[in-house]
Amino acid sequence: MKQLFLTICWLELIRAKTRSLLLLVIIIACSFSLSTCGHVDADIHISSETTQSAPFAGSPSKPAKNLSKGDSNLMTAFPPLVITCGAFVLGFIVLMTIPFRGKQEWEDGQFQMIAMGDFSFYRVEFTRFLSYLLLAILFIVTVLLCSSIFCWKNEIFSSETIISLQWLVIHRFVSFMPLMLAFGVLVSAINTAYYQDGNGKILTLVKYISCFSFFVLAMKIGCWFEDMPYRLFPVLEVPINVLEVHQTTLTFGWEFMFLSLAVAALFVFWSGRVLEEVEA
Amino acid sequence: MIASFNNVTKHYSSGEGVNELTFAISEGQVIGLLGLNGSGKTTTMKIISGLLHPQTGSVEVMGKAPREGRGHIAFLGDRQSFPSWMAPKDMLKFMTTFYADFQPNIFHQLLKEMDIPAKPLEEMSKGQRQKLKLVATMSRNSDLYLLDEPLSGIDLVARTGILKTLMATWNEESAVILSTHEIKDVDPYLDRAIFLADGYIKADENVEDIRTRGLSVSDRFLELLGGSAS
Repeated sequence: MKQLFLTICWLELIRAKTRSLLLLVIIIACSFSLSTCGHVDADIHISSETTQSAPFAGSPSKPAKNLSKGDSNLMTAFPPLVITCGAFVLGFIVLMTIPFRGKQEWEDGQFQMIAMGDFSFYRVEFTRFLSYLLLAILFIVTVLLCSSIFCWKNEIFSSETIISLQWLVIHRFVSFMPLMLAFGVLVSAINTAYYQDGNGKILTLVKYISCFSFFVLAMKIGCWFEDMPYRLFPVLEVPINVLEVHQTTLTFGWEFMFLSLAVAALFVFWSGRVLEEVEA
Repeated sequence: MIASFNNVTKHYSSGEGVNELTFAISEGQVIGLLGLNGSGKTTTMKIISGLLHPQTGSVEVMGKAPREGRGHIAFLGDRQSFPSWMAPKDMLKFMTTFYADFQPNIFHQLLKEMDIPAKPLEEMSKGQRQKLKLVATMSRNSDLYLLDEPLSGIDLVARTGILKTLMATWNEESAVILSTHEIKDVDPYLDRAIFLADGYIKADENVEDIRTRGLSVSDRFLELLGGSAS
């Protein structure tokens, strides 16, 4: 199984090398932007501190000098939050489409070779899913670490707040990423089954649309679970100090996460079933 | 017995396919599956390998259903089989992972004997790619080798050498089924010929019997299927 995992990781990394490079570019751009906005934020911070002690702090001709302590923190926290969220959103879009396979692969007959091999498609699809998940984990952890280190070094958030935000990202990641990857794996398997009948372009369009529609649906279901008046499992409550001004508590429910992981497992199994039945 | 077909029928939506095929494959045989285009050769191969399911009838490979018996079959299909970026060393890694019976030493030996360059498939000629596929297939220690058009794209001069090399490495406890249009090239190596026309078995004969009648396999092919060809 280890050999299969390593071989699948190798095959998938080469197959999806453009997308993997794109993830790397996002990580580099995120790190670079964070380091750049570190200097800008330092300037803002200094100017606001100067403003506090200035005799004409309320001058209407200089609105920037009207910053209170909370506004100053808002100005400081806003750019890294936007950059990190942007990196996550872009990375998520790239990761969602990583399972999609091209028609060329079908025509090359790699499916035929795998179908005739010692491993069933159930195992191959599960291993593929794991390889995508590994890539997603590497991406998320790297961006999260970069952002956390930046916020911690520049004292934008307290370490408790950083940990709370990390919990938030990890919770959302576990709730959505495996589900979306598994959906991509399933859509790709169904797409593969129909490649032999042609219409590649229409199916490609359909799979992209279906993926984003499914994500919206998953988000809506996730929100519904969050608003549920009763809980099956005890919730995790994490205090968070928003911008050093507003104290609040983040509440993490587990129902949607467990459901999402179960559906992800079902999708991977189903994709294996589809490929087992594809006439190569 | 390695494999058996019992009254197997499979039709595509286009209407083509195979009808009521019945035959058995024993150890030590090299069988030619011969017929015109669209006669059902590839379909027959895919049914044995478990890649296609028959609509009626049953197929057994080493006493099991084809999907369960696929570990006993080395199949050279009609597609490229490997991604274009793969070079022989990558194929070795791929084959070793996916096929427990793959023999790297035979693979290296055949690569050398067939003079296959160590470059990616996309940089190889059609003939070189075909030879590499053949090498990968024949490097497995299988009970049944299914070779669908193994000589397509390979030049006339190389064909005889390739067949000699392959037959020299072939384990005689196994069986080989090859479908080809190059009947004259494979003629000396065949033990049995199954002639297909329009999805039906037109004749299933020992090559020795054909030769006793003073005919070659290609003569017999023309005799049986020449009418359909015209």
